[in-house]
Amino acid sequence: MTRLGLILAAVLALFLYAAGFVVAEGESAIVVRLGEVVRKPIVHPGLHWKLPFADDVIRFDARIISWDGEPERIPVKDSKFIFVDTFARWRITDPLRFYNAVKDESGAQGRLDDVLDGSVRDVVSSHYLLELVRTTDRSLSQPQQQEEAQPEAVQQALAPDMTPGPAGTSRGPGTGGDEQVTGQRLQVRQQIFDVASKKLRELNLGLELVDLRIKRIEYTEQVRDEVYRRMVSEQLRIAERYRAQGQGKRAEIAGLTSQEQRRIDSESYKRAQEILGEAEAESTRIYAEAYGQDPELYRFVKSLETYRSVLKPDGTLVLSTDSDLLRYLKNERGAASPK
Amino acid sequence: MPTSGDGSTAGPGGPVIDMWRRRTVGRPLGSLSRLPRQGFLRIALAIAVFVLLYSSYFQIASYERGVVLRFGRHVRTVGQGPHAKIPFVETVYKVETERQLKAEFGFRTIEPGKVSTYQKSGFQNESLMLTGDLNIADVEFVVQYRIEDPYRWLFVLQDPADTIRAVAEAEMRGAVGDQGFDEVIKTHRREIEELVRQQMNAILHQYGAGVSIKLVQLQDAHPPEPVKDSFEEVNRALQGMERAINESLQERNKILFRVEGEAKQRVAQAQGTKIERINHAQGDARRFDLLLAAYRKSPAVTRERLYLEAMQQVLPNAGKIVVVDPGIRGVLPIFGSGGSGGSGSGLGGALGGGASLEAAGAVKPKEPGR
Repeated sequence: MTRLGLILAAVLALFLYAAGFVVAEGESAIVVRLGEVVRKPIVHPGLHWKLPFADDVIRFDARIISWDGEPERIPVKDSKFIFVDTFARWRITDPLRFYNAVKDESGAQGRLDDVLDGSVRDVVSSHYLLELVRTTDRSLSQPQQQEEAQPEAVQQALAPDMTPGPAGTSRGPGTGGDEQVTGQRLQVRQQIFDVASKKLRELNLGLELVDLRIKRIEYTEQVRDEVYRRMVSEQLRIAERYRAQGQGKRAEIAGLTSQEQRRIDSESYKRAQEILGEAEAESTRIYAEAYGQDPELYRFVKSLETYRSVLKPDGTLVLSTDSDLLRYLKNERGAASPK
Repeated sequence: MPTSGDGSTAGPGGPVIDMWRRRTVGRPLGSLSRLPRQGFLRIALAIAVFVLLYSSYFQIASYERGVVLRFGRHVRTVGQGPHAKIPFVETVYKVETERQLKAEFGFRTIEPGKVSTYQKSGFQNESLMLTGDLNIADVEFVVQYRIEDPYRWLFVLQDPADTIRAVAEAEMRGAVGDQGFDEVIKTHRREIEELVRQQMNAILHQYGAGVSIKLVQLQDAHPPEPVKDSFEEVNRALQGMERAINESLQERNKILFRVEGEAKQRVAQAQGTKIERINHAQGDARRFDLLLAAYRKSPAVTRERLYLEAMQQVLPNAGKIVVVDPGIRGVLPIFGSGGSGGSGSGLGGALGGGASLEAAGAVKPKEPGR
C-alpha cells in the first residue's frame, strides 16, 4: 500500500514537473502540440503550464539582438571604392511569425545580412564620400598657427599668410570635383534605416529593426595609400612654406630694424640740430642785448681780444709811429701829427 | 536564456524538490527508525537539508547588485550583504553596478599598474578614421561606463558590452568625420569627447540599456604611421621658422637698443652744447655789462688803459716788430739786436710806451733761433 502510494506520488511529481515550464525575463516562447501551435506566444516571464509530453516549448530571445555586418566594398558616387561596416540591433516582435519565417536567430541573421547589406549598398552608393563622412556643413578650422610672443608687426605680417590652410584647402580624392558637398551622415543613416525597415516589414519576418548605424567607413588599401601620399606631400609643402616664411620673416624683420634704426638716428639728428639752433638763437639774443648797449665799446674790446689771439711768435708786426701806441716815441706830447 | 552570475539556472528544480519533500514527510519518522536502512536515510536527509539551506543563501558584494527572478520573473533587486531566497525557485544574477567598466579602442591594456603596458599594434582597424577633410587620423580612445540599472543590463540587450563598443565606434567616427584633421589631432579633442559621450548616452538610453557613459577620453590622436615623418617635418619647419623669427627679433633688439642709446647721446650732447653756449653768452654779456658800467664812469682813461694793456700782452708775442714813420721813407729797423731789454717785460711801468719798449726788447730771446 505504501509502496503503491509512493509510486503514485512519483508519477504525479513527474507529471507536474513535465507540465510546468518557466519563461524567464528577456525571453518569449511558443508552445507547439504535436506540430500544431496551440496558443498565443508567451511574452510574460513566469511559470506556465503545458500538456506534459505532448507540448513542446520553443523559446526566443526577447531582448534586442545584435547584428554585425561584414565590411562591404561599395563604390560611392564619386566612383571610389570604400569599405562600409555597419551594425544593427533588432528584436523579435512576433515569435510565431518569426518561428515560421526564419525558425531561429541564426536563420534571421542570414535574412538580415541580405536585407541590410543591400540597403546599405543602395543608399551609400548614391552619395558622395564626403556626404557620408561629414555630419554638418560646418567649415573646418584651419591648422592653427602657434601664437608666440611676437611684436605686432610680425604677427600682422604672419596672419594673412595663414588663411589658406594647408590641410583644409585640399579636398581629398573622394570629393566630387566642384560639386558642393554637404554633410549628410545622419540623413544617410536614417535613409538606410528606413529602407531596411520597410523591406523587413514587407517581408514580414516577425522582427523589427531597432537601430542601424554605420560603424566604419574606410578607404580601400589602394585609396588609402593614395591618401597617405597626398597627406605626405601636403605636409612637405607646408614644411617648405614654413621654411620660406621663416626666411621671409627674417628679411622682413631685418628691414623693419633698419627702418627703425634710420628713423631713430635721423630723429635724434633733427632734435640735436634744433637744440643747437635754439642755443644759437638764445646766445645771439643775449649777445645782441648786451653788446647793443655800446657797439663801439664792444668793437674796441673785441678787437683788442683779437689782437691777443691773432699774433703769432714768428709773425712780424709793422707799427707806424703815427699809431696810438707809438705816438710818444717821437715826443712827450704824443703829437704824431706835424706840429 | 541568460547565464547567471553564480551559475545556477532557473530550471525545473522546484518540482523535483517537491517530490523529495513529499517522500520525506510522507513517512512517519518513528517507523523509519526501526528500519535497517535508517542510517542511509539519515545521511540522505542531512544532505537534503544541507542542499536546501545552501541554495537558499546568497551574498552580494559591495560593488554588486543582485537581481532575483522567481520562476523567471523579476521580483526584486537586492544590495550588498547576505540574503535568502527560495531554493530552486528563485535565481540570482549578480551585476557589477558600482564598477567603472571600460572599453578600449585602438589598443589594449595588457597589464595595468604604475607603468601600464599596452598593446598598440593590430588594432588599426579600430583606430584609423576618416576626418572631415578626408584625411586619415589614428585615434585611440577609451570609454568608461557604469551599469545604472542591473535589470535592464541583463534583459534588454542581448549583448550590452558589445553594443557599447559598436555604438562607441560609430559615434566616434561620426564625430571625427565632422572635424578637420588638425582639429582631431589638436584643437577639438574635448569637443569630440563630449559630443561622443552625449550621443552614446542618447542612443543607449533609446535602447533602454540601463548604462551610463561616464567618460569618453581620446588617448593618442596622431597621424597614421606612414605619414608621421612628414608631420614631424612640418613641426621642425615650424620651429625653424619660429627660431628664425626669434633670432631676427633678438638681433633687432640688440641693434635698436644701441641705436636708441646713441640717439639719446647725440641729443644730450646737443643739449649740453646749448647750455654751454648760453652760459658763455650770459657770461660774456655779464662781463660786458660790468665793463660797460665801469667804462661809462671814465670812458677815455679806461679806453686808453684797455688798449695799452692789450698791447702789452700782444707785442711780446710778435716775432718781429717793425716801426715805420710816415715822415721817413722806407723801413726803419728797430733798435738793433742789443741786449738792452734783457730784464723782460716784468718791468711793466706806468706808461704804456715804456712797457712797449720793454716789450720790444723781449723779442730778443727768440732771436737766437735764427
